[in-house]
Amino acid sequence: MARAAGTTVGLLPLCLENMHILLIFVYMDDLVDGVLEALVELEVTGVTVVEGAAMERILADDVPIFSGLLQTIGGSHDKVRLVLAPLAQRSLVEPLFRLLAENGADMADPAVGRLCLLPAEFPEPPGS
Amino acid sequence: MRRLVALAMLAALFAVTTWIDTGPAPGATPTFIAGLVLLLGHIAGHAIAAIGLPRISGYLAAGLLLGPDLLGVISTPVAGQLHFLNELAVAFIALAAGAELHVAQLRARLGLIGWLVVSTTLVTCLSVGLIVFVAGPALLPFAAGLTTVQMAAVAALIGVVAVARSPSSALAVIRECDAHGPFSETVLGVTVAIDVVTIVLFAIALSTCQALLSPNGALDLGFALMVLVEIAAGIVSGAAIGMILSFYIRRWPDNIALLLLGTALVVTEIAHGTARYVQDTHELPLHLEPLLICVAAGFVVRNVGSSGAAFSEAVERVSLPVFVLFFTLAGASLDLQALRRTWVAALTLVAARSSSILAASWAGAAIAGDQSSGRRLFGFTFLTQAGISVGLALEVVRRFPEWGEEFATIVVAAISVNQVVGPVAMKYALQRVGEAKRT
Amino acid sequence: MKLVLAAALVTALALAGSRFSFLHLPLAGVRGSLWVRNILLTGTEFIFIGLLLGSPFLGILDDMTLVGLAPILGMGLSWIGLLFGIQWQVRRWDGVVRSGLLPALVQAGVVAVIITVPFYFLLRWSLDLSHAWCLVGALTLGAAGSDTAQSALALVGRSARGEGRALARLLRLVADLDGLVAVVVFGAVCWLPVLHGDTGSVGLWAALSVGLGVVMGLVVVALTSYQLAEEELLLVLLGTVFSGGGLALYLSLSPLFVNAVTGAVVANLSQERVLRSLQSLLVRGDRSVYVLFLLLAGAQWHPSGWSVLLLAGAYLMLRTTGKLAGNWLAFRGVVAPAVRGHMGLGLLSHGGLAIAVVVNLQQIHDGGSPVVDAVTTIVLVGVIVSELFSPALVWRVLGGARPMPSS
Repeated sequence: MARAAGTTVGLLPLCLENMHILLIFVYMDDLVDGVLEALVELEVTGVTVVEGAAMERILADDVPIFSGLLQTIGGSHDKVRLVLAPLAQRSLVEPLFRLLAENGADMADPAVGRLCLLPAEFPEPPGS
Repeated sequence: MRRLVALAMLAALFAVTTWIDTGPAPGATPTFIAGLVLLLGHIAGHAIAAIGLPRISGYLAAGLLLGPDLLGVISTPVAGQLHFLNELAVAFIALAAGAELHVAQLRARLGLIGWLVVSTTLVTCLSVGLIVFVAGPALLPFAAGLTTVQMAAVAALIGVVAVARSPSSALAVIRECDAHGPFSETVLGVTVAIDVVTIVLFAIALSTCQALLSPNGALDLGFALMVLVEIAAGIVSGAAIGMILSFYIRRWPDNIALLLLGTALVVTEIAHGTARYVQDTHELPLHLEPLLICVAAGFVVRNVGSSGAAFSEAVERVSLPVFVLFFTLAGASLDLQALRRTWVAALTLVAARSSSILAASWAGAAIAGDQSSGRRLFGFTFLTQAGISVGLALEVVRRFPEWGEEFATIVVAAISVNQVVGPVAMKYALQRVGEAKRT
Repeated sequence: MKLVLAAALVTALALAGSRFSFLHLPLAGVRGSLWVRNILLTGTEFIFIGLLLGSPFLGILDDMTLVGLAPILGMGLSWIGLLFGIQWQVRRWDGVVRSGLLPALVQAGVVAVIITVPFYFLLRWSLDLSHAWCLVGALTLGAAGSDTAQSALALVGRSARGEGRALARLLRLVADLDGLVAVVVFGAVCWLPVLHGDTGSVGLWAALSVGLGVVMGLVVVALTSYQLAEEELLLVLLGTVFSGGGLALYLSLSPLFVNAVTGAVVANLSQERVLRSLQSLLVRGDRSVYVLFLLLAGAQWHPSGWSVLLLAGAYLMLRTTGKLAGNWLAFRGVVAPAVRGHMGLGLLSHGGLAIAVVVNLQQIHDGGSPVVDAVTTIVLVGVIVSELFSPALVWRVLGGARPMPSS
């Protein structure tokens, strides 16, 4: 499991059919560990954590009119952690939601984060 | 408990503020009453949900409590100042209702929707009309001096008003229950379609009645024609607005909610303004229905082009405050005095309407060959009534001033009961069918 | 009909303005004068658009229409007050913010005093106003002048290098914090009995202002202590904004101040999760509401005679003097003397809360009164002139800053 920005370290699951990419946007810094623990518990490997900033933050960074202090002290989704993970079984999503909620990262709450799943394809190099 | 504390603090703030009153700045009163309506509606909605009733019953109850008949916080002048919010809410909800009608999903159920519309319209109109005609002055004291023909005309008008539904209530309960599925989509499709059917039927009934009741007995086909023109104009202009919205959302997909509120506001004003202009310049009673225009616009955005999903999402995000405002203000406008005076007639009408809708829905679903688990429950979702029915009753007052007032009092009292009972029955049906994801 | 179309027009302009103004990117291609670009990048052009739409010119936003739009303005003021207050979450402040607070408030206080005292006499002499109205006008100008807008600092500050970067951060922190003086001083203006038909006392109106804000804050804390979905939070937020703003206006108090108190209570007593969501919702309205203020302040502007323009000149001079003296005094031992001498020139950017204060005064007192007209003209001219020059001055103060995004 890697926490370096933009790099994926770790083992990808062997089963490449029906693969999905799991994206979890975490808006609260202190909940990232809870999210990662839930993924570990489900034996999800090849996880990457990327740090980012919300669009509002970047736009507001130009000229905040009345919300300058909020930027200075860092509020309002100023930092977003994006957890990327390949998911071999779609059926893991339901237990994942439950585990995340148990770890305090309830994805039903938009202030905590968002979870989405994209179908993924891992094409093989020509001739292999 | 914490909500009760909040309620007590709001009540104290209101009492202190109105006690001190030193001549408020312009716009202060409607602004803070609108705020109170939102917060108290929120508290009442949660309180009533705790006993299993739909939240809109809580909003209505909060409005009733704040209204002129009880606490008087929303007095008649204040309600007048907030009227534009009410109209805005109606138009916005109509946009939302149109956006719920997804052709791809409805196509498979067009037969069922058609049969439900036909059966409930015919059975409700005929049976309620027949009961009124047979009961005569025993039910409607003002009918004592009417001839048989005149009595038939009054019965027909009440029968047509009984057909009208409330798309706003239906949509609010569906949203609150987070209901998704064929049953909910069918219910909304039927409810919206029946509103259009009611307008046409009412125009025909009104023209016929005027012919029967006026001294010279001439049939005023002009009015019926005018209504057809209004409906066509409403649908065409709504479709045009929908195309423009669709284009705009595709190009600039942010701030959609504010755009929609602005659209609702402008459509309402332009519809009323055009009606006034045509009346003043050509003396024609044109009445463009903002509701119809907005339903058509919402329908077009949802089904034409690629911006339907973004549109629906934006509508959903801001619909709760709009619902709370609309239903709390609707609760404040419930006429308790009228209900107290005419409760026997009102409850008879409610019973006649409810039983005929339940029977007709069951029959309609059976004729359409519907085998789903909800086929016996459709009727429970069609009991809601509001908005447009009151408008129809007021049109009767305008056309028949000699007995229209008493007619409207009884009809509005019955609508008030339906407005309260309808959402409860609808939530029950959605839960029984299993499409309600939230309780 | 006209009211609704005006409301739709103003909303459309506010939306378009929030999208196309204040940003580097969309206007990066604007060529020509640096001054023109400064005006466009700081949204000041909306004052002129408002003036054009107002009764002296096109008449779309005439006085009757503006009265009809009062609830929208009340809501806007309330929104900004809440947004301002909800940022004051003391437990999240780090050492930098804590150490910057006192100097920021001292410099703003000095500016407020340097503007208020001379203007009390200037208004009395030039407009022949009573003692009470001179006090209202002078204190409002003091409040408006004490605040520093973020625009010039945000436009130029990010291109600063080396020591200039640290100074830019300090200046932005001061600009973040010194709005407190503007909000509190203007809140106090609304405690003067003259604004309440000479009834009650300063103490009574002060207690009501603070009490109203605190109780509304506790209402929000109580209602949001349950698990609420985002749409329900929006409902509570709108309810609070309408109620708080409406109640304040009902009592001729400042919605800006009352809701700032509400925001501060919410910031310090709410759960972190709720607070983040509320902040996120409020920030979305930041620019749209500001453009709305600029438009309506411009529409209610009745430019009145050369004498008021002379007063505007005096206001600019006093504000510049105040900023220089205030910073020199407040940052002793914090900033090197050579920098401290001209540091105040980096804080001349004007707008934001100053415009909100003017709009608030227009809301609680008749638009046609001489004091409102004079304050409006003085502050608007002050904002326009300041926004022409301040980016260049910030650039000079920061020394190492590169030129602004070039055409």
